Amino acid sequence: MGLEIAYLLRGTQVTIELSLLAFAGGGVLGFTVALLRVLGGSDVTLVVKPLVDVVRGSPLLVQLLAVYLGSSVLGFSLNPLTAAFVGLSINAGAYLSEIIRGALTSVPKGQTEAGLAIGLSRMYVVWGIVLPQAFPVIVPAAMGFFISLVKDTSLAYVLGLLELTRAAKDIVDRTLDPFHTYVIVMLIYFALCYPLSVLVRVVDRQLQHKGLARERL
Amino acid sequence: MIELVIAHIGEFFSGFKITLVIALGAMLGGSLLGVLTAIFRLSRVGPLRMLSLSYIELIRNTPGLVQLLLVYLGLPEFGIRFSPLGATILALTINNGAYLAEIFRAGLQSVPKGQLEAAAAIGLPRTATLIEVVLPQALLAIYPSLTNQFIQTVLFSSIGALIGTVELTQVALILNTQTYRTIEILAALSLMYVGISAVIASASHRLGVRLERRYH
Amino acid sequence: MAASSEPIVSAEQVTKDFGSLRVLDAVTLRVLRGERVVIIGPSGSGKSTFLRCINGLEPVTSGRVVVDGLEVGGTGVQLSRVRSAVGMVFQLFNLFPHKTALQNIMLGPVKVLGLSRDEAKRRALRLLERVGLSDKADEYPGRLSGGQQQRVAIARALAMSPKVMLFDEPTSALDPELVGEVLEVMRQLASEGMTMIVVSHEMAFAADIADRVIVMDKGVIVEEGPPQTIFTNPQTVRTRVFLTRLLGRSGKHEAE
Repeated sequence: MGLEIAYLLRGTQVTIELSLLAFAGGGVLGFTVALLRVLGGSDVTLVVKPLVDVVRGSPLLVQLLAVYLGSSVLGFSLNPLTAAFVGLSINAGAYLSEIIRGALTSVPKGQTEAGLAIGLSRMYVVWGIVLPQAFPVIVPAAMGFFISLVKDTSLAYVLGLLELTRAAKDIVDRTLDPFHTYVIVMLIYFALCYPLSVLVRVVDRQLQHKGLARERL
Repeated sequence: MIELVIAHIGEFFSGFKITLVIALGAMLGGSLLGVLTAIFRLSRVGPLRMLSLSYIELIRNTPGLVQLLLVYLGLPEFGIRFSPLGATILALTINNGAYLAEIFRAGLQSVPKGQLEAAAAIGLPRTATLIEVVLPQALLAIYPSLTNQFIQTVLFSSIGALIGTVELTQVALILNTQTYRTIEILAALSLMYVGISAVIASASHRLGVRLERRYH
Repeated sequence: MAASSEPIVSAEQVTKDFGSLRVLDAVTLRVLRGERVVIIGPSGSGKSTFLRCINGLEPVTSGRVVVDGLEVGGTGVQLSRVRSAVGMVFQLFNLFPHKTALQNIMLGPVKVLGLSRDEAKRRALRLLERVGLSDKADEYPGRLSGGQQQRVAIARALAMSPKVMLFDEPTSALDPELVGEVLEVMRQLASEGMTMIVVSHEMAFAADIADRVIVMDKGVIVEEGPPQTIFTNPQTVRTRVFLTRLLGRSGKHEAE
């Protein structure tokens, strides 16, 4: 039993690491895409929006398989961890870009106009005026997305990456006790996600209390 | 890519049908479960509130895949066996129910108090008030969220492939092992899902415009 | 007027607390069959709460309300019976937005009184005609003006064949030009002998239809009497202050 718990905890560690890495990767990607779309105008949107829509309109599982199997077909086989990181980052990037873009566009136009009117550059207006006002909307939504991401890492199971769900499968194969194993695994995920859920609610309430948060996305 | 899809259109179509069966089943079952849970969640009876809250939090804070594996592999330990398709529908129904419960709760709470008072003032009993007055308005308020949840359910139904349900993704994976034309197959598969999502989104949008015109 | 001596609504020592706030303090009011009572008073005086106690929308903290021999309170069937004997018209109409005018009116007769759909429909159409909206039967509330919505709401309440009609500031959410059509329907109702309890700030209307005007302030009845007396010769300082303020406001309104 002790051995198995240790094995699950190692899987948990991978799950946490992968979640954080993919959140960072998705954050950078999502931010870039959102800024490109807000600053770049209609031709950038013409190119970027279909890409975002394809990622949001197809299953993460298929995306993970596409990165993993696709990379080996194309001759640069990614290892499971890298493939999972890339696949999850792309997926997270698409969703986060929509969260960030939605928040940026929720800031009244008058703010941008006022900034431009006093001669600030477009870049500075977005960075220095719009973004800070969008932040109270972005933070809780992005935190909520992080919880989804932690759960989504379980799909990396299909690539053979030894994260928590895969670790559970190995134990089930050995002990032939799937029920208890998966219940324990569920509780571990719960222990990871639930405190974050509570935190999101608290942060959300605080921001709303301060009157900073605009309508939720 | 196109000839590959056309050559195997029969398999893809049967996979598509199974995907729809899973998603529709999970939406219908999940809606029943979700409405009930939402009503419990707003109930004055403490234990009912606790029960619904525990269910919502447990499901929403754990991966759907683990829930699926627990249903498919764990329940047989108690002699409860499902086919891969049955397990997929059941697990996704349970999963969906928790998310839908929160959507329905928001919908129920969005109905103005005056509507309840107007129903009470003509002596309408509680059940009739719920069915005739509250639910229709709640549905109207949340149908964009329901649409989104339906799309998410279609996409998430792909995890059925991991226990051998022959839905759309599994069809593609089987085809991959036969033809090794991985990139084309996965690209085609993605586009099919994108197409399904787009059809659902636009149908919902059209319905929304019609409802909006009807009531305002 | 045509009032008989038998009370159809009798509220005895009605007290209502919201937390530590006493909104109604031992209010007693008896309304006779066929009588028209208009309740006036500053906002926060408890007049709307009092009205809502009469059909049990607000449970009383103490005291009792009896409508047509039925005690208001309890739950389920009893409360439902009381409520269908009491029609209520709200400030914000509260029509069901997803039902047409006709469906709004038919709901109660079908679901509460157990009428057949045909019968309920005939009744609803008759009532729509009575409030002058025959041509709007199949319109949704969102497409009706405020005045039209309020007339439908009156028809919806009448469809239950109530013994008493309660009006909670029925015109105060309306644009000034729409007030007249609603008051006209109410006048017509009064002339037909309906028992009415109206919370309203329409002084001319009150003077016109009321048998009795009740002035409430801070949860108690400060004065009551026939409209001529109340409006021309108020006995208490509180009534005088309230009326002066009200007249001042409407004077200013007209000047704008």
